[in-house]
Amino acid sequence: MGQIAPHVVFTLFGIPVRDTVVVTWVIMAFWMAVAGLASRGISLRPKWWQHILEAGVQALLNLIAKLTRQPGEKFLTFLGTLFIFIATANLLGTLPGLTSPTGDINTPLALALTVFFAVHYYGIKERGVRGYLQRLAEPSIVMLPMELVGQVSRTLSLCLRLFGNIVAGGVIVAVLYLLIPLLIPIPLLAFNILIGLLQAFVFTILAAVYIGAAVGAEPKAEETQKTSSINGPAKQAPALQRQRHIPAV
Amino acid sequence: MEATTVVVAVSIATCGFAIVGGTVVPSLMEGRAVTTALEAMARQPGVADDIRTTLFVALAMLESCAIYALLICLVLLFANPLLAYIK
Repeated sequence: MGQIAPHVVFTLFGIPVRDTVVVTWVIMAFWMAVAGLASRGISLRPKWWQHILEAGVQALLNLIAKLTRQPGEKFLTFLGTLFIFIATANLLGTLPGLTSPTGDINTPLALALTVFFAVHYYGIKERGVRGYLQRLAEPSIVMLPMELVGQVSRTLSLCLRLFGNIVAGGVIVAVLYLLIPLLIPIPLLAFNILIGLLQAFVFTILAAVYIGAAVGAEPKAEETQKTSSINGPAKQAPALQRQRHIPAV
Repeated sequence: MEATTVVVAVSIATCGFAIVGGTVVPSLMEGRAVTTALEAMARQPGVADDIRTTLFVALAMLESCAIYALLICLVLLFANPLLAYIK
């Protein structure tokens, strides 16, 4: 596991800095530059890149609105950043010589902890401290320990899912480089790209579901009929008030 | 037989069994989930998008169990912490 594991590249003010941290800085600089330049050139007669960025943002908004049943703009900054960062971080791991930041246990752990605190933050912001604590004890106060354990296990599973997928891909490609380096690693590199995008998507979806459960409405025994459209897209529809309590998984 | 040899041999054997169990069972269950999802999508194409999203979430949950098994095996094979205690 010599050189596939993250290793220290230089020391900054006495703190050893790993190569995954340097790649994280590169990702941050890149996306901040893209966002800054794009915001400067936005116009009512869009250029080609504005179409692409708007399509991406709209897709994220629709996804978040569907999962959290709230207007998408509320959580777009957090969840959109999660998706973009994790997707870029996973994809950069396929380039030779670069280590994916999510292949170091610290980055997925930090991201999972961020989601953990964000869930509580959004829940308290939406419902107040008392209302949120009431929701935690919702079916009955006896379920509270299970709810708390569920919160911890959700965070851990988010972290380990992302970390495990990326590290497993890296190890398999490394082992193949040892055995048959000629052409065989290529399908596995393609598979790594797919898995990277999928894991970013799944991380964002799960974060959105957890936030939606924390923010969601009170459960009522009402109709949950949703207008299903066979022809047209109802995806742009505003958030539907479906009263259903999502138990903590 | 030295203690180190025994520990390493048992680790290798355990990894073999763990990977077998950790690959077969999640795959079977994921196959069942996909089958049900496909049947539902064929029956109601209107809500296919919702079904697809739910399917991906469910597959990620199931896949994470396989990943747990893989992680344990990787730790046992490459970064076994118990070897430090035998010296």
